Amino acid sequence: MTRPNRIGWARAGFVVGAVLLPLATWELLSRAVLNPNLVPPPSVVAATAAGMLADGELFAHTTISLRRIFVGFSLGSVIGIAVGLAAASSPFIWDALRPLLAVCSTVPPIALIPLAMLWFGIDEFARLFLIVYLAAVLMIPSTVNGVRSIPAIRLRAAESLGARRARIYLGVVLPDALPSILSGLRITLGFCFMVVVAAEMIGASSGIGYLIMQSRYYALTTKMFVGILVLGVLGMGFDTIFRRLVAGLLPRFAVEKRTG
Amino acid sequence: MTQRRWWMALVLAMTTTLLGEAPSARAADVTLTAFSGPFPHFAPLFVADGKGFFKKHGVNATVRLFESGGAASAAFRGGRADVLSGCDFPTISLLQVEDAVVLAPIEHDSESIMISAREGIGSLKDLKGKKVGIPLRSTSEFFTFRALRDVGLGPKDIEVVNLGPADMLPAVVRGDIDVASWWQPFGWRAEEASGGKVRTLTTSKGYYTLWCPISARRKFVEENPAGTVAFLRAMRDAVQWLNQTPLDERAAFVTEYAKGDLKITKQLMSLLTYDMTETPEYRAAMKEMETFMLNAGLIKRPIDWDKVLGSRYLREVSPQLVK
Amino acid sequence: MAASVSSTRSPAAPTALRPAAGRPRSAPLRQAVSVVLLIALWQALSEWFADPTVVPSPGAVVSRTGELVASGGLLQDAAATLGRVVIGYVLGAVLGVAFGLLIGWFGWMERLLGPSLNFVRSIPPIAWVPFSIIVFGIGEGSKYAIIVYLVFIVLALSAAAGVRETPRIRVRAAQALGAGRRAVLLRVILPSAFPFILTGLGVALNLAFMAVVSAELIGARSGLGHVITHAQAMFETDTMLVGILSLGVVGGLFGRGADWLIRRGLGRFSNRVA
Repeated sequence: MTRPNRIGWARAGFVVGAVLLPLATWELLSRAVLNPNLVPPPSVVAATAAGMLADGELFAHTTISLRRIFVGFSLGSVIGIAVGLAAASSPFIWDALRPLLAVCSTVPPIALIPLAMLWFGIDEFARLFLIVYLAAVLMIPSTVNGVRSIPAIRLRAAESLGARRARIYLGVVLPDALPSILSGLRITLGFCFMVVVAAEMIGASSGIGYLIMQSRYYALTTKMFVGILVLGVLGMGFDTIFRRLVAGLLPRFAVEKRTG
Repeated sequence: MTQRRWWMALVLAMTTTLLGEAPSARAADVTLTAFSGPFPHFAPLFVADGKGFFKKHGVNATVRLFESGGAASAAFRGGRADVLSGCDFPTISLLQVEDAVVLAPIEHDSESIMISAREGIGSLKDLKGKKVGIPLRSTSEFFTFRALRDVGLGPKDIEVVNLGPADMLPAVVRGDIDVASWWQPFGWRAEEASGGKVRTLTTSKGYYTLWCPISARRKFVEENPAGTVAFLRAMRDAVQWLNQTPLDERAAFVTEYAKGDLKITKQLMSLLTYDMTETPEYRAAMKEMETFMLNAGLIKRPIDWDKVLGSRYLREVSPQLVK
Repeated sequence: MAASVSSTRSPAAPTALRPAAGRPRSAPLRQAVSVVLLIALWQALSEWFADPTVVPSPGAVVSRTGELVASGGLLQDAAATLGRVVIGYVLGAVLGVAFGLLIGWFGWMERLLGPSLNFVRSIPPIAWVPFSIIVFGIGEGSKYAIIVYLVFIVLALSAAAGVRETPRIRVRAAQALGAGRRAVLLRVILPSAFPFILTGLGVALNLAFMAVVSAELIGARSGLGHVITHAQAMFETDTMLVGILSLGVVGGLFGRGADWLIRRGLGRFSNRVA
């Protein structure tokens, strides 16, 4: 309310700074300290990216990867949340799941590629499997954590007030577990962007991950960095969208609050 | 009217018989799926597909490219293809676990596999005691030790650093390793990136010829002998096309097909020889590679080459192709 | 993630929705039963596939493990991998928490550096390998660097979120009561941020194990990641499974241990019994 102009300028300054600072550092490091042939500076990467944008190549790769990420993320999260809810309410299921989960949590999707290819083939199904698998593995503990952090007293209170199971679930369990679940979803989304690179190593012929790895095999360092840049921007962009969406639709459960 | 029609039919029948079958697509006699890495070494496969030679011989082929030969092999293992193109080392590895027939070589060269070294290293003898980057379990492993053997050096005389070529690039430019044993285009890139500090020490010329054969599942071959021969015919047409076409044009085609980089593809293709002839050199080279792999413990079982080589199918395409 | 969920306490699920209380002691038994069932399922699958290079049987994997332990140095590989993870994890965690606390507290820092952090979050370790080599070379340094990098990012973001969630009013109350900077940090901010940091530590631990496989692509001649990669190149599915399962077992066990240690050691920083 007070002095809006100054605050506006300060804000803009920060946004610009947040973007320019790392770019400038990178440009300097690449040209002066590291080898610009091995770590191309942002100016060179941008030029190549512009070319790839102009001929539509970048757009094609981006849309395909985004589709994979979202399908995999959605499916995997739903499965993860469902299994998590089941596990949270049944110690039997949870104990049955724990050893499997413990093993799966530390195995990188990259190591699973040959197995996925052997078992599921080399088409979209195998690629999506990898993403769905990761999303589910990440969402199960988040969900279980969320349900478990509900103080038992709240549940007993609801029970003593005569609420039936379904009501308890909808009215108490879900809302109270939601912050943890939403936080988990945000983290999982980030990792789904990461894993699309591994997923696209399974017989893909397009996609950002494919672009990165193929450029690596051909020693086309600049193109590889274009891919990395795009991946980072997309990941960051969708993370912001996710946060804004949650803040807008479920203000009570805003994933991140600004205080003070 | 009827008489005229009859005449026309007769003329038509005679013309068709005399001129032979029209060059348009026949109904497919055999359907197959082929996997390959995107490298120009496997260009005959791309050409056979993209220039219609498969269609011409009644082969309904689906060619899928993977980002590397290893990825193609792994996918082939998964049972989803009938044909695989590869180089000698990966092919022999594959034969350990897959009952395949090595149909024919499609390419060979001795300049794409090479060793780069930093300034100060003038000859192979200078490798003694140095850090040498080698992608283990690849043709480069074989080539390096073969070359070292010639100057009296053994595996113990060098310090082997196991890296993939993509990672060797920054390492050798930076100086973490003195020598990189790998393949083009990495050598050129390293020279560029290091401002000339890293240069080609030697290619494999004189030591080793890289052979890239095309293999097929035995089951497929035995169930489709005529189809296999048709496939090979198409491949031979492709090889002929490649040998008759100027470098610029064939490089452009391969770049477009494999979605590669024109400059690199052209540079690489100028080093490669496309030839489907099964020669004694080819057989000897494969056997030597097999022996090396057995001694190094990389494979456990020797290969029965008489059973594995698909010479008889090649002979049916043309007796000249098997020497 | 599995590391951050409490292990032996009874779940705080609605009483109406769970079986009778007093079951906790049989939890290990249930887990053992489920492991046995999983192995039985695996055996059935391997028989159905009947191709040992596609789905090796549990027996084949066990015997291969025995071979590798006896003559292949599997235990040394596991130790090497664990060592890399521990060093990278501890370093990354300390740096990450410190950095996260800083940017969480100073809003201007967060606005300036936060976006960069969010940007690099989406980039998988394998894409950073060439960069890591350029900066750190091909020794152990670049392997640690990759693990430190990932752990750092996770913990920086977690700690920053934790600081942000601290109700300002508490801080001001403590300050009004005369608490110095250090007291405010230790008694108000850290306890508030603790659950976030704890979750972050769990996620980061799993991530560290995942990253070590990519890290070990950099010229390693030891380590479970190396075992897995080697097996892939030579189509040895049984060895590959040995490597993957070993990684999972080592990771799972270490995770439980770390979880216990953290709660014990840092529990005093938390608000309630976690």
